[in-house]
Amino acid sequence: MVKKTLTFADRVRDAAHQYRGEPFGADQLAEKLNPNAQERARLHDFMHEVVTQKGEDEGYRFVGKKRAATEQVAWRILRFRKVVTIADLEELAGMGAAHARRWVHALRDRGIVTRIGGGAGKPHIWKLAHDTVAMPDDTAGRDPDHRFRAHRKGAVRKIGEGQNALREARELLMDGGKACDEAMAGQPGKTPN
Amino acid sequence: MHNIKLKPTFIKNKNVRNFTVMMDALSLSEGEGRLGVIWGRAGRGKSRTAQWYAAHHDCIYLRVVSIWRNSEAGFLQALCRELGVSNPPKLKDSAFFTAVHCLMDTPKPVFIDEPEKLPASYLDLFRDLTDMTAVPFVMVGEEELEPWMKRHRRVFSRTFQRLEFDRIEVSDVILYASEATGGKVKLTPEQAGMIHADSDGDFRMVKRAMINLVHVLNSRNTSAADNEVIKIAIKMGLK
Repeated sequence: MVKKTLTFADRVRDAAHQYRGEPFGADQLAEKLNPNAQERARLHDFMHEVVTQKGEDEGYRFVGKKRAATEQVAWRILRFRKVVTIADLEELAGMGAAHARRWVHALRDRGIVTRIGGGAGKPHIWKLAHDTVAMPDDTAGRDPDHRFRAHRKGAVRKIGEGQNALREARELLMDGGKACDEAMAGQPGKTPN
Repeated sequence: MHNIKLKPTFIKNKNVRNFTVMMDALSLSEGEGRLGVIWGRAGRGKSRTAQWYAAHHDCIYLRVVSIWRNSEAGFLQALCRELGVSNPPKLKDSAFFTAVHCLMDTPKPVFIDEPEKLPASYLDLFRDLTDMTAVPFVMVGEEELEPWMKRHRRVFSRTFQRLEFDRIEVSDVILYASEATGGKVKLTPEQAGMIHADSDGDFRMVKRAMINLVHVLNSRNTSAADNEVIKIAIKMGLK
């Protein structure tokens, strides 16, 4: 007998199915799946794409927990530690180095952090100079990848709309332009002169 | 060959997993005042794990500073600030009730790092705060923390969860070397064992040995670590 290789999506679906209609969270599913680092990163996408949509039909539910924004996690780290390096943000908040640097520079521009050391080949050390308690809103979402994904999503939506409009136009032309003329004249059954 | 870079990496080892399980267990007894204790030798990653957990789960983390030894008001004001109060009250009782009000409004676990630096009278303050707000208070400290709390029966009876941060293991060294170098440096169990034995389970020392190892490997333009290179990297560390 040929042994079927289960894809990660299959494993997510099987693990979700075991709850038999009971609500469960992403963390509980991760415990069951024991995913590697790469799979863990994809788990949230799968939870939305596989479990939420198809899951409802098959009788299980997904209770999603909103993930804290990376900048918000980094802001908490900065408030806890008062002094951070980019490496701290990379390690504890899971930010990429370039993203962390951009975010810290945005805070520096607003006078919230100041550089107190480093440079000349050594990592820069940043101090929380002015604690605003809440993270300044305009420093979030500066991740260019995030912006790129948002733009791509918008572009795909517009392409879809355009394709629908083209399909409708083609259907109108299929009957020799009769329906099109009727629509333009606003009087069904009469063709414009 | 490209230079190997050591990427800052947070390893979810056995201690971190136990920490998460402990926090889940603490949340089970919701609705009543409770304390948690996490202790272990320096360099085992207690504070870093507490910061990582608190940042990702929207908790409160407060590192004790020794000037609070004679100033409970200072501690309460710092707690208020962490709870989102921009201008905390100057008076002790006002600050206390502001903190209670904030914690009742938005209940979040509170981590107190190195509380053993404070006088024992603070234990009653933590007890009052957890009793009035039903929010778990988790003490994170070194080995003397547990006996310090055990001396006060009323406090210790409210300690629902205890966790000792153990030495990191050989497998953690292998995992750290692999993840921090993006899979370029793969240590054998024997090589990881050498680093582990030298570090005595202290993560800071493992990290230092790894930095030295990467320097040596880069200078030799290779990513293959042999026993000789490991010995050099260990020797480079300060004793």
